[in-house]
Amino acid sequence: MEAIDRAVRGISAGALHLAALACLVCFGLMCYAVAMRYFFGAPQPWIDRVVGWLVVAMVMFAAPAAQLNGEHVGVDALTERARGGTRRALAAFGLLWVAATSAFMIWEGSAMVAFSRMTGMMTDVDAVPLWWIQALVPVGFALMLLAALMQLLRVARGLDAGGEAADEAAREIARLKAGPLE
Amino acid sequence: MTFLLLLGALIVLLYLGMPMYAGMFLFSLVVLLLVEGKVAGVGEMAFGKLNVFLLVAIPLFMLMARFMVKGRVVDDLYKTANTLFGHLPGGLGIATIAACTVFAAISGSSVATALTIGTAAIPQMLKYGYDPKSAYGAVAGGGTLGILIPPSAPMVLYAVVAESSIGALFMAGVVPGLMLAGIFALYCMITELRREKRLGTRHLRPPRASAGEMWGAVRSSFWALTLPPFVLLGMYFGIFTATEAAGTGSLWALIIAFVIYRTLNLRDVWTGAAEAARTSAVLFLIIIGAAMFGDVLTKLRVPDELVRLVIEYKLTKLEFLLAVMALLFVLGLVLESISIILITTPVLLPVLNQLGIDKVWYGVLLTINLELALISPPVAMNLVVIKSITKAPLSEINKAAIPYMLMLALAILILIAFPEIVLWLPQTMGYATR
Repeated sequence: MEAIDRAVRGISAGALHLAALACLVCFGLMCYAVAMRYFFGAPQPWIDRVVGWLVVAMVMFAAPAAQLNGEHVGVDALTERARGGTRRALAAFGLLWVAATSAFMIWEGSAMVAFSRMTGMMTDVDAVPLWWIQALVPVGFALMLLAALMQLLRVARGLDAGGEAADEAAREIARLKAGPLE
Repeated sequence: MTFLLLLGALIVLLYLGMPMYAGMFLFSLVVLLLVEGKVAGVGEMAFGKLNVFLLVAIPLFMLMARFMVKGRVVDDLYKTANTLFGHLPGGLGIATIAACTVFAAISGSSVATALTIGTAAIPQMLKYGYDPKSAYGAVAGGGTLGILIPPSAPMVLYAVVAESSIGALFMAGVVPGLMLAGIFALYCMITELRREKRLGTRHLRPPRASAGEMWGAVRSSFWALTLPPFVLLGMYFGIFTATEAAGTGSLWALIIAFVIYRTLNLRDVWTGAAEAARTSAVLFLIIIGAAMFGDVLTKLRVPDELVRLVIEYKLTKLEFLLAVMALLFVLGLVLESISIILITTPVLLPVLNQLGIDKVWYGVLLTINLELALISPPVAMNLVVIKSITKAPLSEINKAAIPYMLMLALAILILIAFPEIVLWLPQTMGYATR
């Protein structure tokens, strides 16, 4: 169980690094676009499209880490008051919804990728097949499914789901305290 | 009626605690299966909703704020405001509002504004003998400015859903934001003067700072103060778009924190990017869930039905806006702001068009209503933040927020009566605000 826990957290952490990289590349590309337009009179229209893809990558790779940290926004008025078995049951119910959503999106996302591959659809940026980018959707939701199943296992064993903070304010506080503001 | 029934069922479901995006997604899936017997193209829909260039403004503005916070560039903001305004009646409250206004223009987050400024301001106000309720109220109210004064993530999301201009919305938020800050500051001053009169003593105020001290204070926050004009004036003069402003604003923040202050290291840059990505993922997945819910409503012809009702009952702009503001306020009591924007906007857009209501004007009214939600119990993020700082009873903090709730409601009424306050600035920039 410990090994599964560690492996899933490791995979999510790796995916989060990719998301951070996507974020920084977006940052670099936006600055590059402005500089090229103003200083060299050469607008770079491809950047808009690539940044759109990077947004998809950022979301899909960062969502599993947010899931493991209990960061996804939910109404916790009831769950916060619940104790013991009821609390675990509510947590399991929520995780089942995440798992079901992820499973459905893997199915639908794979169908989308298969179709684009079959028809040979290309993006409007040279030599980039559309399915390369679309594949981020089923891959991201597969990672989410993995995270949700690991959390379900924890709940089934009587542990908490592993999220560190329950509400947005607490998350923000934890996040800011982790920085030099403390 | 269908809309209210579906919304009610969804809210009941969401109260079981699952993530919003998953709750909205599966609920909508089940309704679609019941109504149509099949679902198709969900993968394409999700991909299409995320593959939107404009959305990059949100992670990049978050990155900008992270650079400023992690680089400790904003640490002196409250001290500066305190030096400038502290000697006035209610001066520490005014300083709190001023610091919140500037921090709002850097962070774009109400929770972060309340937390960062509140941590410095509340102990100081209590030390100088202010009524605790004044201190809690100033931070709660000042914090709400985070999502009205640009940059603002809720405004970006609204602009994307309503297909409105992000730049126009940002500019439209400036004057109402400053107006609210002025109202809040005036309230701090009046309540403190009344308190002094009631107690018959002029209670302890920090001494008036000398010109040299004031100059020194401004210098200590100089670089933090350069960021909001850099972003806003860049957009105002059309030097860059809102998305480009997010990128260049982040670059400016990076230069300040990394090169000038030298308080940001590469690890901070990396963790800042990871945090921005994670928070964006949380927001953007809700877009997918809300899009599914919107699809259900469209298939059930809810927006058409709403337009028909408005025509049938001959509702005026004013009546419709007041009804919507009341509905948004109620939703704000039970849901968080992003879901409210994403659920209600697609439904209301056809009616806004039908009645000739400006989308930018409505966007600002919506944002102020969401600010109201941030300090209205039970889902009041800013109040939870204040509780975490002070450990005071939530009931006391709730009471402190009431005057600020009333002032926000008053601001909504003023802006409904005088749309020019909202639309003037974007129009001077040449934005077509319809």
